[in-house]
Amino acid sequence: MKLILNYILLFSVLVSNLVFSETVSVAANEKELTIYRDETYGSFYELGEDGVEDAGLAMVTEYRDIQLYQGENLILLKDIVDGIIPQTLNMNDIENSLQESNFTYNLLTPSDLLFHSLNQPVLLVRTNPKTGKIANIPAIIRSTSETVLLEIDGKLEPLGCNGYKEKLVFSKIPTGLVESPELRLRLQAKETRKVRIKLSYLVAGIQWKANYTAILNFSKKTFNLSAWVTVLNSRSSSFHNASIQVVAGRLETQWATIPPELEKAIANTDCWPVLLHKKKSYSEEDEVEEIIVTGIRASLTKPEELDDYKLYVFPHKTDLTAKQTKQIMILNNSDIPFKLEYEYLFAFEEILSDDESEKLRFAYANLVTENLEKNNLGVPVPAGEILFYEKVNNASILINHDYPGEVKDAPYGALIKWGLAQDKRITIYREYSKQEGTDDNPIVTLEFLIENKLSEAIVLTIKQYDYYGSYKVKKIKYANAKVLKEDGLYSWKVHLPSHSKTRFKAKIELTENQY
Amino acid sequence: MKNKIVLLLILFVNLVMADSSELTLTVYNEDLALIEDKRQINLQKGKNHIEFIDVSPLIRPETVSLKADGITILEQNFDFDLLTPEKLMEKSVNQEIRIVRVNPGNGNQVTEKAKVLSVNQGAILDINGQIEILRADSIPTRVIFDKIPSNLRSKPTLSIDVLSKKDGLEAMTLSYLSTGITWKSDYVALFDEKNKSMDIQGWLTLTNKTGISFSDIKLQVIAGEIYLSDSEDEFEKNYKQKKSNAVFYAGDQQKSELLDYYIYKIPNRTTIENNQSKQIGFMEMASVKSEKFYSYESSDFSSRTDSEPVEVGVKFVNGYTDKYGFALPAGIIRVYIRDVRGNPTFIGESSINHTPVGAEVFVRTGQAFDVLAKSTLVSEEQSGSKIKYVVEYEFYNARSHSVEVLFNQENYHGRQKIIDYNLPPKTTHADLTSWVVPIGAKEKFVLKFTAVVEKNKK
Repeated sequence: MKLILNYILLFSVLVSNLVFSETVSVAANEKELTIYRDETYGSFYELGEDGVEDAGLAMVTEYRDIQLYQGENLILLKDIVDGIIPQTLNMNDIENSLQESNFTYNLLTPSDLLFHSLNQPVLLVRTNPKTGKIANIPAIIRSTSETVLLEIDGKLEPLGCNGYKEKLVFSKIPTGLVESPELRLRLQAKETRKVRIKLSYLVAGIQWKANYTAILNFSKKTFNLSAWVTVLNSRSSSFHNASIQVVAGRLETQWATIPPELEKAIANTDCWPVLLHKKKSYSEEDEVEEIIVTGIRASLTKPEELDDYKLYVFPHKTDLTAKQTKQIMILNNSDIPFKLEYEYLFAFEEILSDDESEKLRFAYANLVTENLEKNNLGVPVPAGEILFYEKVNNASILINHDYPGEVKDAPYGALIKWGLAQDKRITIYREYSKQEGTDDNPIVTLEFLIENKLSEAIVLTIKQYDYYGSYKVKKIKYANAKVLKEDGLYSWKVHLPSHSKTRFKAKIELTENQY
Repeated sequence: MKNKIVLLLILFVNLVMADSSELTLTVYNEDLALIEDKRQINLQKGKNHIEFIDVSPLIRPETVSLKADGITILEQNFDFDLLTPEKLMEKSVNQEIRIVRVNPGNGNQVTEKAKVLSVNQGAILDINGQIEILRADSIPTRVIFDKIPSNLRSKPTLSIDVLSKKDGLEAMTLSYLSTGITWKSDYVALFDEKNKSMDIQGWLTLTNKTGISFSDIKLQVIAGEIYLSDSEDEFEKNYKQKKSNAVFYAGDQQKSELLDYYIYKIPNRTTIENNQSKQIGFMEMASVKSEKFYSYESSDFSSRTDSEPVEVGVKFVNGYTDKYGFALPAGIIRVYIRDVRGNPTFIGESSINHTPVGAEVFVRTGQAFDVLAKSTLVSEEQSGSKIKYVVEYEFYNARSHSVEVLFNQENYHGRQKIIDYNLPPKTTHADLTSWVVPIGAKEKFVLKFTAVVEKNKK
């Protein structure tokens, strides 16, 4: 009986004092990456303090071998990808159930070391600026609001306000501060055994886009098209021997799906007057060099279906290191026929100007084709950027050197229309313009002299440009070309024979634009 | 015998320590939490000054309430005049301090007494009858203060003066509101298009940025809009009017109704550190009937130069009457599907509002790569106050199976009447007409109709 009582007492003490030991998972055994496009921006651009490093979204899937014990388990996961959006953590495991996850980002920074050492003893090391003599002075931190105040021998002194070379030496790291963000899981396991758990979570700062190169043959009216998926990892985490796939399509996302903001107050150790300011840590000002390598003779990756999107899977496991771009080829098609459609966009404010330099304009050429097999295409064309080259005597001359053209998602069978460049062989000269009526309700008469220097007849679409300009069209009083209205804007189709000049005339009543 | 006594003592001490402070956190959606701190405090008969140094730095001091039997509250103070060098100097005006100057030439230190004359954008001192600006010469100068003024604090401090009838331990409950703690719901939904079903897990995401940690707390969260008032009475009124209504269970979580709010109680105690985001599972629904939908909307009658992708998403009804039946608090639903390898892959997310039982939920996940729409305004004729629009919508489906697109034609300019259509509308209202447009695999369908609009009178 006494023995039983002893054991009961011992057991009670142990239970009452029991602290669940924590299992530490040092790193993932395997990682997979599914990368989505960032629709906000057209191209990769400078990382800076505006949070641009958070552009883009990717799903990280990790496999970790962990020893589980029957019942409740606490697991500390290290080597989590930075930029994690912790509320998106997901564990699909029917054997073991995830009850809770905790993402802690109380980081060990100089400021936090100071803030968390309030009322603690420290060593003040003071160097006489002239003699170089060093004094080690025991002190207690009494305040860290704005500037550090120390208690030395019962008296108070601000730190760093006196012109001495001073530093603080701490004997320990305050509890609760971590060297890097930590993810902890509370898991309920059905039995004790070693398992491979699978986790997924979203991270910001990894994105991809498609880069196209089109080499045009104007005499044959065909082009060769190659396309690359370019992945950008702007985080400081790397992926080694990872399976990577990218999703083409526009996903709906919410503004709240972002990593936690790691704002830090900077403890000022300078003199008065003092300022407390916060800045985001983890902001870097490196510029991403956009070196897009679009070579040939790479194996092609064909798209798979992912619900209403397209999926491009990297052919082999690979490394995607921190601050790196990587490419795979997804298209390499030749002899795709195209047509050119010409347009001239104008704004009413512009054509009423007397400035001689604004009277001469050039038509803009768009490349048009249909995404069909008979056109040597007929595959999904994901959104991205395109560079156009013209083949001239075995050399490729870049056409759109100012900025790349935009490619939108185009499914099989869709009409493809890409902006190419100005064509200086089609000129539009504003011969005459006159304004009558009132300032709120002007009536504009204009005449354009249009010259086509090409050896072929074309149709030029003259289009109103300024949907958000000061004026909108109230009534077309007269025009000598067929009028259309698209996207709320008026346009006219003018037929131009080869090597010809044609006049376009119109009289338009405008009214103030209240959009 | 000695060993048994020792073990018993250890057990007893643990029990006492475990009961020394009990925290309950009630978190609202609007970056607000009610913190209730029950503790035992040793009081003396008569006046007592109690300081609470571990309250949230983001406390709303006007909401503080202290309850205990046998005491009378005399005064509550929240001191946030913090200890800084500038404040120290300001409090030392007309008082004496010491300065220690270091000769830059020979390194010798000289200690002098100084009287602080003023502190306005810099300190002006009287040193032996001579008026100087502190550190104007940039010579290293230490400034030494003898003591901390009584009303300056290293951290914001709550203090309460009470009158106690007797000596001894008194149980007290301190409650107050604080910002810096938020909660929201995040849902994970795995959609199976083939079987038209979805498994949904709900997670409470709690984020603590108050500056302090809350250890071993009882936690509950409240879903629903609350009226935020600076008046404590208003808050008390809203909080105290509890209805004892039906309690629904889902797994281990409870939900009860409080006016128009829902309370979700977390059964186990938990700890939330400062700068931590915590996710706790609170609900799970398996095999919820759900369906994919495609939709396209137009709010005017005009031509588009380019085709646009239609929207795609998943819809489901919240709650079965006999199985699950509880409101979904507002949050974000993230939808996943299995790729060809069977791996769940994220395909998009949407916000949902507080969703009652029985409501239909539409979760937009993105835009369909392969399903496009393009509008053409064929003609427009005005006759008096009415305008007749002849419109065509060309839908194209590049998928390998047929789809249906729910198309909504709205009109913000007036009442519309649809006539002369090649496909009958599904629903017709004065300002909204809907069609379900069927499109075969790799085919087009052109919807044609005429709309007569009577312009809104100004």
